[in-house]
Amino acid sequence: MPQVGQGIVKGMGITLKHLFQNKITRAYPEYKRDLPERSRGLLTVDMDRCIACLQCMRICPDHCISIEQTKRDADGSGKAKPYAVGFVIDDARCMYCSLCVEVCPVNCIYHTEEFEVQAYNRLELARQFGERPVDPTIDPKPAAKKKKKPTGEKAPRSVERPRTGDEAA
Amino acid sequence: MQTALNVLEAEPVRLLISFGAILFLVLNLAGILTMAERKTAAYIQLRFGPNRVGPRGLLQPAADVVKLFTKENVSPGRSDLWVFLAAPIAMFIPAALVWLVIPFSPNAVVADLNVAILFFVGITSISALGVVMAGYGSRSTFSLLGALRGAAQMISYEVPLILSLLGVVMLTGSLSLVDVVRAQGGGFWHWYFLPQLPMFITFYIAGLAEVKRVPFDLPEGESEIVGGYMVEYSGMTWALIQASEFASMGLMSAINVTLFLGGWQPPFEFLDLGTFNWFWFGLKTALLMFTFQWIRWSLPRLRMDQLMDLGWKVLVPITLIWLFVTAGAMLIFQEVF
Repeated sequence: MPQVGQGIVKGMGITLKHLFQNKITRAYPEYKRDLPERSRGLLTVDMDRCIACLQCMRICPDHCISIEQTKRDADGSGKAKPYAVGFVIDDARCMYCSLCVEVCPVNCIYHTEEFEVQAYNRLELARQFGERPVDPTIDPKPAAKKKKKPTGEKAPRSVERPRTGDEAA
Repeated sequence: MQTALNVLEAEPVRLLISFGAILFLVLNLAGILTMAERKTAAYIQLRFGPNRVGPRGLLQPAADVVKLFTKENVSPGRSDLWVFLAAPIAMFIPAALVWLVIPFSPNAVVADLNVAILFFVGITSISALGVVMAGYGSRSTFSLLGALRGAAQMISYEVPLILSLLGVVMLTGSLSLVDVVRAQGGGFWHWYFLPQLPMFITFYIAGLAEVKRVPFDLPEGESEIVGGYMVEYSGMTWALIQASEFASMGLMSAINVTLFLGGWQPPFEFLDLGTFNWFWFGLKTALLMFTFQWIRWSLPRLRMDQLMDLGWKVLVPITLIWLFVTAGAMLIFQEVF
């Protein structure tokens, strides 16, 4: 009997104490926490250093980088080298895997500390870096192509017998 | 000037003005209590709560009202539409109506009924009808479950609620709330919560159950039946249900203050503010409403059988025993009363 109501009193005491304690919420837009050292923000490209090797474009799993490549004598050495006239990073597709950063031979593509992006249109999220805009809606086809290995069993079976609706389900 | 005031005090005009004032009070109370509820919840959980709209988020209720007014009222296709739409009104009107008999300060009471306590008891039991109508009209399983729970709970807890009022009625010898408050004059030791302590606690608990607040929120049952009888409501119909809930919470606190905590009587005689004694009434009511919210964010919900046990096996015997004690004390110490 002396224990009746003890839990209620204890619980309500705790809530009353919390009522006057300092709040642990961080009011976000006014208060911003420092980002961790290796945090991955939006990608950006230093176009002066880019050698248009297309490695980032090829390795990107989401195909979010498109590069329009020409040959141009940009550094005045007399030889026409590959040059990126158009360079687009589509943030709507990027998943911040950092593969392009690792693969870049001249370290010209890197993560910034920016992470707040918003737009009314998906296409507005594509950021252009080159002289000429590249259409972000066109899926960049990486030059490297692997030959598809024939999967063997499935192809002949469909020839033998046409699929019925029941089988597909 | 004098004649204009006389016109305002003449009967049909006075009643209309009073109705308007009470409606204004109740609707604003609902808005403010929504805000207070969210803020209390947030502060207890170490959060800030709504703090974006207006200074310190104080305009949040206004934003909520605008949002709810512009929202579509969706009703289930199979619903009994008339019952469905009438239910929020049937819940709101009883909650607003009882405010008419509550004395706010010595001369501020809309209707000084000589059966005000009976009026309160009668009108508040109508709100159970609103709950049943909502559950029946929605024609949805969860709604019906919530409504049945609500009906069972509200009708069971009417009994200790009414019994706990009887002690005060016996001591005062009157059913008028104004008489009850006048009888408690002269310092807080004259208030009825001291001689009627078990009745006060019973009334408080039964009041919690009657307005379906945590820990007696089985009809709502957020985590089991996702809102109970108000599952199917949206927009302004839902807002009306919420408003009636908050209004009846305020009402329970106000009645509790009037009956047991001395209404507009100041805690000490030298603090008498005359006409402005409504300040004391408001302060006490606000404190009680805060305890309602405090309990809500601290305690878990009761099970159905525990709820019924508490009502019938604990509260009803306590009130009956204390009725006998009160009657015996009045018989023995006749010269005091």
